[in-house]
Amino acid sequence: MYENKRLGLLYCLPFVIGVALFKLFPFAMSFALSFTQFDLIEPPKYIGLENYREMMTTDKLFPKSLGVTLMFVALTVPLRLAAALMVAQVLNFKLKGINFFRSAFYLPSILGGSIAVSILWRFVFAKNGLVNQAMTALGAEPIMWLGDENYSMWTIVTLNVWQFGSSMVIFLAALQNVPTSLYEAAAMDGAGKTTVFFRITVPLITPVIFFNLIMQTVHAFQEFNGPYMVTEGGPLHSTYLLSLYIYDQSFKLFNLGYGTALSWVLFALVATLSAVAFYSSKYWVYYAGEKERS
Amino acid sequence: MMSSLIRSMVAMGVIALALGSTVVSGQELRFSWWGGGERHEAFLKAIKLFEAKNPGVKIKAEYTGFQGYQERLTTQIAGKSEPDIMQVNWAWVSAFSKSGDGFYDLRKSASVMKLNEFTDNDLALGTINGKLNAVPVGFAARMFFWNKGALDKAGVAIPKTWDEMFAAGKALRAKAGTKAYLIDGEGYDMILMSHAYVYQKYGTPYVDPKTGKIAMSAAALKEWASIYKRFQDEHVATPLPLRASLGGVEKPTEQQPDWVAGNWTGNYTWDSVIRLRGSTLPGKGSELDVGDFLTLPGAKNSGVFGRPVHMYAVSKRSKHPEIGAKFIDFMMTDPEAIRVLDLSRGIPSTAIAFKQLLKEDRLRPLEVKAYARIATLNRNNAITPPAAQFEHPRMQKFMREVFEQVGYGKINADEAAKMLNEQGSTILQRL
Repeated sequence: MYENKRLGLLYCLPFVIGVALFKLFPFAMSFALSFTQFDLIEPPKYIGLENYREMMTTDKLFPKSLGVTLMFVALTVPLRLAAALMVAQVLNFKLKGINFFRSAFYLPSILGGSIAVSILWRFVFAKNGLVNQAMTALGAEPIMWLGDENYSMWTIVTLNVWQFGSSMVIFLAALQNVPTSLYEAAAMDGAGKTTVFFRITVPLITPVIFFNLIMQTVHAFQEFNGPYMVTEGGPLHSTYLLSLYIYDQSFKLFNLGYGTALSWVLFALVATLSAVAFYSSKYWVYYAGEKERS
Repeated sequence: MMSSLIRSMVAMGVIALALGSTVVSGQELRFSWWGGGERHEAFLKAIKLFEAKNPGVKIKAEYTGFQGYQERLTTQIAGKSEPDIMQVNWAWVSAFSKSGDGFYDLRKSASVMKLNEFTDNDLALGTINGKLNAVPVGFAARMFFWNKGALDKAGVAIPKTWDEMFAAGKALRAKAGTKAYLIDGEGYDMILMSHAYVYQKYGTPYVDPKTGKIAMSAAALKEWASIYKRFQDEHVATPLPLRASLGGVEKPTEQQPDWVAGNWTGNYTWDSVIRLRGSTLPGKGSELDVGDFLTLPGAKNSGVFGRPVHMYAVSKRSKHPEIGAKFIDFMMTDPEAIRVLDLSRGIPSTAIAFKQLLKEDRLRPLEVKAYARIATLNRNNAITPPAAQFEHPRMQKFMREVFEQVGYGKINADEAAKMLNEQGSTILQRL
């Protein structure tokens, strides 16, 4: 028994070493580096809270980038969840060839994060691109999607929302677990489709909505490929997400100390919002078998 | 059971270490560069040639596009795992080697390099504190190139002065419509074109190459922002918002449909990329011509922005720096390598390479014309390379942000001048 335990621990060792070396160590080091001035070439120089002070006082780009990030998350997450749930609801019906459609709707999730699709998106939303050609054909004025700060955000939001496949699959699984007896009972009581959806379906899948909400929020805060490739953060920083700012400061501007400080602020933000979501979940998430709340 | 498992793991570890040491103990060097398909192909051929001439030496190629190259190299240098031989940008040399000790001093291997093939000026560009950190692959300057066919069609003459350029912009618009712009350039090109005007007028660049501090007066800074906006507003240069809307301000000119169609009739760019610019024109660039560098009456300076295209350096941690130096020399002076590399890296800076390419008829008349102009300017000391700080990524980002706001009309020339002076000084102090 004891021999097997040691062997088990030995098998776990590569994973433990991997996590310690490639996750915990960089995690701790990044926190330490956030209190330094570090240009990657010269050794880091301790400067206390200077990076954080600069971020909160003199750096005008930080509040701009933070605002853009929050806006991106606020637009992307609800739209992505709504699209995923809507399509999952449709794909839950027993239709001919439904498996093909399920695969087809999942496809953007595999492709969407790739560089090639981001480049394609840039062509699609260019002034002389497909979207404007379609708009012109319909008699509308073309829009400078990539060149106008009022519209640029929508190009990266749509790219992100388009990749709703993973949430959709999870929603689909949840929808298939809703007992049909409840729908039958509601139908016998004369409930309409909208009532059934909001009074039966949604409450029963709230744990999955909550799971998707947390995952998609974290994912949205980490979004990089889309804005980096499609808009390059512009114009006028209108799509300059914090992830881009961190990357620029750390690797383009030789300012890794400041970049890591930014990362920690982003981490704190995501952690706080996740904590708020977890706290609020007790008021709107219902788990099967849970006792009625007093 | 336990002991046999541990024995097997130790044995596998020993084998892995042995294999690893076999690989690193040979004369293997890593060479990294950025570029396009043509350059990759040519460099790989040159590597094979070098390996054939130097049995026992293996050069491992690490190549990518430009995007992300600097970030990757910076991380490698920080992790002390950079390649033995590196293609670097001129401005990075001083950033990576502030005191001159960041790279291997190539003068230590002068016996295997024909350094006399480079001019003293060229070598000075890669020297820090007396140590030769890198050698320039070529020297390039931003010039005015014109699509003569498109301009002739519109009945507009190639401008020779800034005033003529403003007049030509108006004339072109009147004749060819609102899609027509006299000159195009990527985001940074347009900042530099405006800088050239102000440099000529006031005689000082934005950043003084000697002191590394801001040299322009408040009036000059204001005029820099004003003239930048005027180029856009008066239909001379492609406006920044338009370029952004077409797929990014840095999207190369040759990929722009309006350039291909002849709606954009000129390009302010490096002389080294003109073949690329012409590649998408109907006549493959045969209609392109290099124009006079525009001047102001009583100009105090040529205003020409010139510097090494890029450089080759050897890592100070390389186990075989002498072979690295020999390889660089091979790339720059060996007749077979010059033939194989052709113009994949522009016109090389060594005299032997230029003469050979000229003799073998590898240069197009336009390239020779542009090269001759730059050579004349250099001979007359009319091109002062910019301050390294001017091209530092932080300054680049800062200038682009200021001029983006000017281009979008978010700030006026006074506000831009104030930012360029105050914020620019703060950044320079930190570099």
